[in-house]
Amino acid sequence: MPRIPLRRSFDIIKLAYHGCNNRPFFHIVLLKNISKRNAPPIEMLGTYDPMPNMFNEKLVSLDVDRIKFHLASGAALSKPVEKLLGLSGLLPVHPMSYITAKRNRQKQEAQAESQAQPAEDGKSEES
Amino acid sequence: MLCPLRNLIKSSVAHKVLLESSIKQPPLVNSVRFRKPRWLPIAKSKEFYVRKPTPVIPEEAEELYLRYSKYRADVESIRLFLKEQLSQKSVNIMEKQEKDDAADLKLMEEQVKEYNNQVAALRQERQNQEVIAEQKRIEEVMQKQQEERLKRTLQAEKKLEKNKAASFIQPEDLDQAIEIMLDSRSDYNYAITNSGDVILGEYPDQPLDKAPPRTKMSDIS
Repeated sequence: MPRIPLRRSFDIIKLAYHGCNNRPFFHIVLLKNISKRNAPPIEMLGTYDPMPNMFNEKLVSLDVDRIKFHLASGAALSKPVEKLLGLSGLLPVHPMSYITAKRNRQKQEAQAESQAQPAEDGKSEES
Repeated sequence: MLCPLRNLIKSSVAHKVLLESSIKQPPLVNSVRFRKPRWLPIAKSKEFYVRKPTPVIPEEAEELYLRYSKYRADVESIRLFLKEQLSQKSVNIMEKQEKDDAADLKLMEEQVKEYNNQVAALRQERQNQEVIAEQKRIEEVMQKQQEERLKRTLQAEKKLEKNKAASFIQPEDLDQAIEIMLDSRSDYNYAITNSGDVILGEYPDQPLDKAPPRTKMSDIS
């Protein structure tokens, strides 16, 4: 009898790390949930380059038709892939994306305030 | 997994104690480390390290909860929609294929029908000609046979005519002919040996009155 109970096997669309040191690059692949991260995929469905390029863009390529097909046939999605698909408009925006955006906004606001305050202080000193 | 075990030691006191203790304080579990060997102690710097739980902001948590429930429902509905679309697509493709097949079949049937008609016309013509030819042949054969028969009858009549005088018995010679017939006897009562000699019977070629009387069936019985 196996020591670890057998897991239910299903198809999942997830990211497979294919970069090297300090250069992340992901393939968006269809795999069995129990297979290894960089196992030969059942199907490759796109790529994701998380490093912004010279135009400050993070490039994503998706095979939309096939992803639709796999969604229809009941493939699961990993959380990063859900986020990517949400941003690409294929699915609704992921809840966590909203939260992240909110946090970023708050951070920006705080930064702006902290920048504005010394300026105001300076003004008052001048006057 | 636990149920059978639980049933086994359901009544035991030890189990009761164990259960109570586990409720009060969950069992300490050392998670398995994969990088270092198991038997190495925890590093000095990490001896009293307790991971700070990720801070949960209640507002965010609430928002997340609401958003997640909606998000999951939406994704599920999108999945169903895509599934339906896919099946629709396949059905459409199948319908189109069927339609195309039917059209192809119709066209082929028409072509075959046309060809059949063409061939049938040719065959009919040929068969008519054949029937006419056959009739003609039969007529010719009949004609020939009739002629032959006529010829033969004529020949036979001629021959008859020729032989009539020689072989036929005229009414005035009838008595004489009968006499001759009665007189001309041939005796078959003889035997032939291997060497070919003929051994005549007991009474060879005697006149009827000199021959011994015939034995009758009535005499024997």
